Amino acid sequence: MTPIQTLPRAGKYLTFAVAQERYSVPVLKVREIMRLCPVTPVPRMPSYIKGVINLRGKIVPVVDLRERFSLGAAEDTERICIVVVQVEEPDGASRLTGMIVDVVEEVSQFQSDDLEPPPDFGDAVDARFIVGMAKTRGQVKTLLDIDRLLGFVGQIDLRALNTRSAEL
Amino acid sequence: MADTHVDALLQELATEMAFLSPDSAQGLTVMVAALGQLQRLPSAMVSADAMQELALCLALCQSAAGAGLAPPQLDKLQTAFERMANALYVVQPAPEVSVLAQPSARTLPAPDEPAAPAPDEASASAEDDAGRFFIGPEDDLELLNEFCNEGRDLLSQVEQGVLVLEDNPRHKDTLNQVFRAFHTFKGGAGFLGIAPIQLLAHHLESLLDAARKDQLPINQTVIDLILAGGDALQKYVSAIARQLAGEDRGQAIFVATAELLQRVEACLRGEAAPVALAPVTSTAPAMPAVIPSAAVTSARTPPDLPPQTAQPEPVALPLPPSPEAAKALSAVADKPVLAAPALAKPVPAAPDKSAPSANAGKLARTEALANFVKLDTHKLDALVDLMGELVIAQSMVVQHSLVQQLRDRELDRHLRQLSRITTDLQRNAMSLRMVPIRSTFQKMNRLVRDLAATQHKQVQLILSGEDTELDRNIVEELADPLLHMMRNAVDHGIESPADRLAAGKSAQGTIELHATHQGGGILIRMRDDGRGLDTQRILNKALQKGLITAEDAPTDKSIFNLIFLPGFSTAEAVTDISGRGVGMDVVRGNIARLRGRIDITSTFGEGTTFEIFLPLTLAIIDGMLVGVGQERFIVPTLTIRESLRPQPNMVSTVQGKGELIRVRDKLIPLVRLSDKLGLVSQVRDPCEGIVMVVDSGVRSRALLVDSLIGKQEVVIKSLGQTFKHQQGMSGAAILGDGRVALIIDPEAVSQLGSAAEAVS
Repeated sequence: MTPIQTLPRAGKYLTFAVAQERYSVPVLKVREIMRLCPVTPVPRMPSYIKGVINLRGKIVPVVDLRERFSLGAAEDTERICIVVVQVEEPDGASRLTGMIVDVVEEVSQFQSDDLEPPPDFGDAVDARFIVGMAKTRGQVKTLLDIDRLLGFVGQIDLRALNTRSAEL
Repeated sequence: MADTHVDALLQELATEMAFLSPDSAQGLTVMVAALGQLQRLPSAMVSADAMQELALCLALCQSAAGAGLAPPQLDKLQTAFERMANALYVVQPAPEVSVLAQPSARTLPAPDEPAAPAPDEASASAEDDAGRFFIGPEDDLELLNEFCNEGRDLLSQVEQGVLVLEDNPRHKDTLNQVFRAFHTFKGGAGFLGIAPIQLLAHHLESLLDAARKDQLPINQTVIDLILAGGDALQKYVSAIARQLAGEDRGQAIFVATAELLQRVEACLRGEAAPVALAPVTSTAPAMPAVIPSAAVTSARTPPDLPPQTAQPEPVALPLPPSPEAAKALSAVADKPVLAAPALAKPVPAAPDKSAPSANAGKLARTEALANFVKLDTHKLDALVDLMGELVIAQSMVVQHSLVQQLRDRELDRHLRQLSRITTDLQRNAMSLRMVPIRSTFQKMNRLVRDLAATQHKQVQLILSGEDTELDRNIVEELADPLLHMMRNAVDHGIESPADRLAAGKSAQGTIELHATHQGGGILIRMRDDGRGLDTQRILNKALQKGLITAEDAPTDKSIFNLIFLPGFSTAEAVTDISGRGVGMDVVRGNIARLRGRIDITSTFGEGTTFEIFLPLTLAIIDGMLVGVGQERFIVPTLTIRESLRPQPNMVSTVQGKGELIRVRDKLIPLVRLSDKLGLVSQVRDPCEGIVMVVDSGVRSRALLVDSLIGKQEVVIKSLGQTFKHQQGMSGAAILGDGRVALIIDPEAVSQLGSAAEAVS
C-alpha cells in the first residue's frame, strides 16, 4: 500500500449509501454499477461474502457492505445495487469485486478543502480501511480504501469489526 | 583467468582447424566466433605479430564463410594460425583483466556477412572458458528463451531418434533427422554466440555426419556418446532457462564437457573407446577396427564429398541442392535470413518414402511432425475462454422467452445455424489445446532404457495409443506421475532375469503403456508382467501402521488402494528392495488435481496394472447438475460411479460413524451435501433424494443431493483469490441461464466438517 493511495486526494468520487451512512470511492476504481441480480452463494464463507455473480463471463465475488459493517438488513430493497470495483492486491494483481450497497447516490468532485484525514475513533471503529472524510453540502462521507476493505476479504478478523459502533 | 581463456580459445580453434575441410563451410562459423573473441582481448595480452596473423585468419575465414575455403586458402589459414598460436604463446604474462569488463574493446569483425553469428551482440557475452559462459545484460533474453524452447524440442527429437537408431542403426532417415536436429541446435547456439554449446553440438554433429557417410558404424559407443552429449546440451539449456527465469542470475553457466569432447574426438579418430568411457551397458561392443582410417580421412580432408556441402552453417545460404542438402536446408534455411534461429520452427521434410521395415510404426513417430505455429498459451486460453462465453451467450439468446415466442421458421433456421457454428467453433477452439500424449510417453523410453541398464534387468517397453490427444496442461502434468510409476514398475515390478526365469517367465520383462479414449475422457493403462503386489504384505504393513484394523477384512481392491496413502511409501512395505508405493500418494495427488482417478489391479506373481482415467481437458468438464436446497451444483461426471435413489433398507446408521448406505453389498458412508455446505434442504430422508456414489481413489462416498437436474458440459472458471482458502469447491461455471453454479470437489467436500460449526 503506497502512501499516496491512503491519503485522501481531490477528484471525482462515487458516493453510495449503506443504511444511513454515506461512503465514497474514487470513481476511477468503479468498473460497473448494476442492479442486484441473483448471487450464487459460496458455502462456508463469512456471511458478508454473499457469493459470486457472472459479470459477462467473469466470476466476480460479491460482498454485502451492510453485513460487512454489521448494519443489519435493509428495509428498502428496491434500489439495491452492486458496485463492481477494481481491487488492487498487495502483490500488484488486480481483480474485480462487487459491493452490495443500498443506493448509489451521485458522482461528485471533492476539492482538497473538503477532505480530512480519518479522525481518531479510538477503539470504537476499525479505521483500517478509511482513507479520510469528505464534507460536502452539509453531508459527511467516508472515503473507503477498497483495496484494504475488499483486498483481505475472507481473512479479516471479524471480532474487530463487531466492536464497531454503527454511528459515526 | 585470462590466460586460461586464451588457452581455451586456442584449443577450440585448433580443434576446428583440424576438422576444416576444403570447400566446406563447416566449422568456419565457430572459428570466426573464436577468432573474434581472441581479437577482442585486451591488446596488452597479444603481441602485434599475433594480432596481425589473427586478422589474417579472420579475414580468410570470413571471406570463405559462404562456400568454404579452397585448398590453397586452407593451407594459408593453417600457417597463419600456427604463427598466431606461436606468437600468442610467447606473450602470456596475462594481466588479470576480465574480458567481460571490456565491452568497448570489442571490434565487430567486418560485417560483410550479415548473418555471421560472431558479430552479433548476443555473442559478445558468450565466453568460452572450458564450457563456461555467462548470460549478460546485453543478451537478447527473448532470443535465448526461444533458443531454450526450441532446443528442448530438438533434443527430445534427438533422443527419440537415437533410441530408434539403437534398434535399427541403419535407418537413414532417422539418422538424418538426428543430424539435422543437432545441426539446427548448433546453428541456434552459434547465432547466439554460445560457444561451448556450439562446440559440443558441432562435435556430436561431426560424429553423426561420419555415420551418415557410412564411415562410422553406429554402435553402442556412439549411441551412448550421443545420448550423453544430448544430456549435456540439455543441462546447458536448462541452466539458461533457469537464469532466464531469474534464478542465480549472472552466474556462470558451466557443464563439464571437456571429457565428452575428447571421447567424441577419440571416437571420430576411430580409437576404441578410451578408458574414461565406461559404457552404460555391459553389452556395448568395442569399436570394430575397420572404421578408423575412413573416419579420420573423411573428417579431415575429403576432396569432394558432396554431403559435406549439405551441412550449411547458418551463414551458408546458396548451396548446391543435393537431395540431402535440400532436406537439411529445409530445416535451417530461412533461419539466417530471419536472423533469429529460434523464430523458425524447423519445417520438417515432407514425410519420407515409407520405411518398409517391421519397425515402421516405431520409426514413424520420430518422423510424424506436422507443421507448427508457435503460439503464446495465454492467447490460446483467452480464445478458449471467449468461446465458452460465446456458447453461453448464444444459448441465452436462443432460450430467451421472447425469442421462443416468435415462432418464426426463418428465425428458427438461423438460430439453429448459429448454434451449430458456435458448437463447431468451440470444438475447434478446444482442439487447439489438444496435443498428442506422445511426448510424455516417449520420455518413458529413455527412462526405461537407462533404468533397466543400471539394474541389469531386461525390460521391453511397448507404447501404444501415443496419438491420443488431450489438453496440453494435462499432458505436462501427467509426465511426473507417469515417470514415477514407470520407475516403480522397473525398480520393483519387473524382476531380475534370473528370478523371472525361475518363475517360469521370459527373461525380458514387458511394460505396456497404452492410452485410449474412453467415455468422455482418456484412459491410460500401464501394465507390467512383474511380480505384482503382495496383498498380504501390504495388509500387514497397514495393520502395523494402524491404517486399518484387523476386523476391516478389506477386499483386494481396497488393499491395493492402501499404497496411495501417504506414509505408506516406506521400505520393505511391499518388496525387499525399497517398496512399491514410493510416493504413490504424490501420484494420486497429481492425478486428483487433474480431476482424474487411478485404479490398481494386480495379481501376485503375474503383474500389476494401473489405470488412470483423466478428463480430456481442464477447461471443460462434463458435469452432473444437481440441486441441493435452493442451489445448484456441478459434480464432475468422471468421479461419479453411479447415482441411485436408495431404498429404506439400504440405509443404516452406525453410532459415532454416521450414516452408511449399502450399494451392491458395499457399505459406503453417506455424505449429506446440504449439511456440509450449510444449506437448508427439504430432503432429510435419503430415500427421497438421490445418492451419488463418487470415487476419488481411496474411498467411495455417497453424496446425498436433492435432485439430479441434468448432465452438461461446462467451462470451468476459477473462483479467484477471494475464495482461495475455501475448500470443497474446485471452481465455478456459468450455466445456460447466465447464473453461476459451483463445481464440487467430492473428495474435499467429504473431508469437510459439518457446516454448522464452520459458519458462525
